[in-house]
Amino acid sequence: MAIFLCLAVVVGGIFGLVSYSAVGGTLRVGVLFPMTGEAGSYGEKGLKAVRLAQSQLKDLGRSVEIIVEDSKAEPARGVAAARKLVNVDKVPVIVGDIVSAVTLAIAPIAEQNGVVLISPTSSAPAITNAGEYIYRIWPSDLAEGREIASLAIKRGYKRVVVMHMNNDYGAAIASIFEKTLQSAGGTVLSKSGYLPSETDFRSVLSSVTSQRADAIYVAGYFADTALIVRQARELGNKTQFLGTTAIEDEKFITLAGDASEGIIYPLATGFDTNSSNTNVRSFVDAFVKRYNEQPGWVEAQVFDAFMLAIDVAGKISGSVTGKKLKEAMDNMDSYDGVAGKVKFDENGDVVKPVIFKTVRSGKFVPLTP
Amino acid sequence: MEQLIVNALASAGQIYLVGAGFAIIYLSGRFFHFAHGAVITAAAYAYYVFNVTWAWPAIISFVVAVISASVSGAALELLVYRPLRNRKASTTGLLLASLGLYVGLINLLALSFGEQTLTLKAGAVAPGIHLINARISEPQLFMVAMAAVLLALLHLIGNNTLMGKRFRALSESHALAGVVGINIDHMILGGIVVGSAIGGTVGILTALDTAIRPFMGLQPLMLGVVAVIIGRGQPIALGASVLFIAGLQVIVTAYLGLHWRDPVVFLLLIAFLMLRPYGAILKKPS
Repeated sequence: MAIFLCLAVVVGGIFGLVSYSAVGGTLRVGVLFPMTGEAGSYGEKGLKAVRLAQSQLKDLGRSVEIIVEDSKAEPARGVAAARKLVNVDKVPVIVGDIVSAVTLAIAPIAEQNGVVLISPTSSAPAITNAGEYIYRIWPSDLAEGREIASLAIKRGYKRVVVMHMNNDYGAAIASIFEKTLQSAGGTVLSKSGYLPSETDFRSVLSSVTSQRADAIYVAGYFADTALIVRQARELGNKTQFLGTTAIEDEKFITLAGDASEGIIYPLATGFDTNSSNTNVRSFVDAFVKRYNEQPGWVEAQVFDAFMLAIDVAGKISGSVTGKKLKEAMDNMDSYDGVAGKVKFDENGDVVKPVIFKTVRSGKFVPLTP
Repeated sequence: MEQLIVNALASAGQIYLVGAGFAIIYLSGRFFHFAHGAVITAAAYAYYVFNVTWAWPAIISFVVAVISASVSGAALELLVYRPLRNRKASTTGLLLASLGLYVGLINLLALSFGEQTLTLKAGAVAPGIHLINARISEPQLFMVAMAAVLLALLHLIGNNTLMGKRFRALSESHALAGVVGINIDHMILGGIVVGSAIGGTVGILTALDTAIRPFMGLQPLMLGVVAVIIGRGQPIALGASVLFIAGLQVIVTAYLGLHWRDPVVFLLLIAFLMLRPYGAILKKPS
């Protein structure tokens, strides 16, 4: 029995390489999210968006079969789940993962088997070069480092102190920030990394005061950035702060208190629940009607990634294969999603306009120049 | 410059209190109580629950949280260390048990509260108190003052009272102290109750000063232990070594960056141990 199963998987895999016949016109889509574990709440949100999309498509007379797998946000689990989706379910496209580490781990499987992988939210810079079949609709972290550096120069912040979390995320955007700032004529006065466990930044901030910086760029997450801005204000330092997309979390304002006021950060997702755009309105209304709650950026990004796959697949004549889907993705012009316009560059990275935001009266609001 | 000195002083106050609490337990029990780091952290979470979740007044939350720290220290002694000692466990055995307790308790805290950062401060940011052209926060000032008082107190008690003599006897040899009629179990229990109260106080003050995280106790504990090893566990020598470590931290951070702070301090500890293999508390066997 076990041998037979193995054989079935192997044979299935070989046939899978050759053709993915869409059974009776039904497109099969693999969905790989962390449904349990630390990032389980993201997966739950994402799946709600997928189910909403599925029911909307059904109303339009298009049936889509969805196969959901749980990555637990662990690369090893993700790889096992992706193999199952590719070899057993023979899907031509996988929407996932939400977490960068899993997206990177499963990219080689998608690439080798000619299956299109669309990640709704992965931001790790390494995904840019993860393969020909790998797409994402969330910009690389590097984009935000570049954009905020350009803004700094535009606003006259030429002397900048950089503090970054010493992990892949913080170190990568801090270095792209430094390069961009310097090539535009700015100076990085000092650059210091800190461990994710650090809670006391006063020793660094004290020396910053004497450097007379125009701005301090913090490349980290919301909790550490909050402690840094708060401790700077407690030391009587009133320097302008620049932050990352990751600070847009209510807990940032709770932790930083009124020290959060005025910090400037970039945001690449175009999702705005209050937008008057008809696409956005119908998505938000349908979501609220179905789940009795407001969708956030995870729901919007997943909705876009899923609908984009269906939209592109719809333009393919005959059976949908991963190869045909990839060609159609490469040739598509752009897609109007609920989280902004999606356009891919030659690496399958999304090119989205970046907006700048700030905190005013305890709220995240667009920055007015 | 003034700010750097004030930072060093504030950091020294915190490390001194952690080190002193640890040293009291070490000197009476003659073992490394690493779970002290968990007691420090637990007190901060206890304060959070009392003050934020249950909205008790700050002072009551503070007192009850410090008492809970003492009670948890005593519970560890009565439920784990004493039974182990009665079964003739070696100091290495006790050390391993305390490491296990630390990891277990911290993970329990992380499970109950999540690994997120909690804050006791919200809303308006109050700039620190002005001190010689620099600023110091209230909890920092409190820690420095408390460290100074404790240093004097420990010095006086250690040299002038019977209690101090008993502690010193205990730190020399449990067997001999037992022979002259000192109740070792009572002394160790007393040591852990007092040490945990001091540790709990630092935990709460640190939380009030920065934030609460499951691993917040580890860094000050390690530095406190380093100071105890360098400073022979003597109140004044401990104070001197704490000032040295804190000054080194501040200088390294200011001139090399935050990421160099821990490597330099701990490499120094290793260098110190190479020069004085018996450390400073442990007397060279004669």
